[in-house]
Amino acid sequence: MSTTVTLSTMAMEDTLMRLIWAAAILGVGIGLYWAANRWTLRRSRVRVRQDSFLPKGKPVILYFTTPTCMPCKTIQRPALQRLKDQAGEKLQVVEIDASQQPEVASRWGVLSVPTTFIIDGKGDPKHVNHGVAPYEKLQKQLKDLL
Amino acid sequence: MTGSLQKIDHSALKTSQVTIILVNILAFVLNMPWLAALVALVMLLGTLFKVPGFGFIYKYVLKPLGWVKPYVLLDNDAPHRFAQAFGGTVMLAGSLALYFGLATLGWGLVWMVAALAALNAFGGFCVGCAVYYWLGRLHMPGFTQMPPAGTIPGMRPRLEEN
Repeated sequence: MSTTVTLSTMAMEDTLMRLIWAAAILGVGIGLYWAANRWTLRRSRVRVRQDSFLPKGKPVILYFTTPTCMPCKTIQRPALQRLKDQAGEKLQVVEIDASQQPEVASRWGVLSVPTTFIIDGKGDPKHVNHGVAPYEKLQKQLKDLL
Repeated sequence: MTGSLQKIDHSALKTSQVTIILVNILAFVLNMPWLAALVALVMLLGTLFKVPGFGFIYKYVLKPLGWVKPYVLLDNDAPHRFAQAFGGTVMLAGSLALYFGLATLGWGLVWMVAALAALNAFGGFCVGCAVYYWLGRLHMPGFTQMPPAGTIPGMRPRLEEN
């Protein structure tokens, strides 16, 4: 009886240790992803100063898309339109067609579409979203900027 | 060189990669090497049948339910197959190492495949594809496809289905 209990406790301890290891490895992975995002943002700060097409003085969402990108049409654009409707003149959305302006997309480090950059009124990029960013996420990212 | 490009649904690839990550983590946490062997088998069978190993989850469950939408890009299929074959072989080596009691090596290989799958699924960079293109540059026989125009070798292309 006590041998069974000891074995069961050992198995549980082993699973717990493995869970901790898995969490630690995942943590490192998420940390690296976060660091890569920070690096993209830091790099894009230089781009903001170079790119004259970005309006100054109000928050901007820089949105990279292509004409045939389905998630852009079905999710990303409606989400951006909803935000624009709510914020009105306080927010500017700048759309870039990555297939028409590949050099701009490359300069900003855009590797896939949709990609959205959230830039504050001072021209400082605050967030980058690789892939679809739902309305709720964008709203949260814009909360302190509007 | 976009002549040989095909319509590739990257949602199927991504579903397969995410499943590989999840099953590998589960195999490690629950200490079930047979799960790692199952992943190896599915990946190698997928390569044989020229489909993403766990793509059937997308095809028969996620897509019909509308939970994951198709994301069709003009891309090469051979580099993805090569990447899957490479991943499957590493998983097989990991499973064998676990079978022979080499836990650190075995789980290390399993985690490596999970990490590379994560890089592909969330970062859009396919290491196996990059290796394929690199071997092509070295004129290795069989590695004939070139990256889509304007795409960094291994990166997800921006060129979409027209």
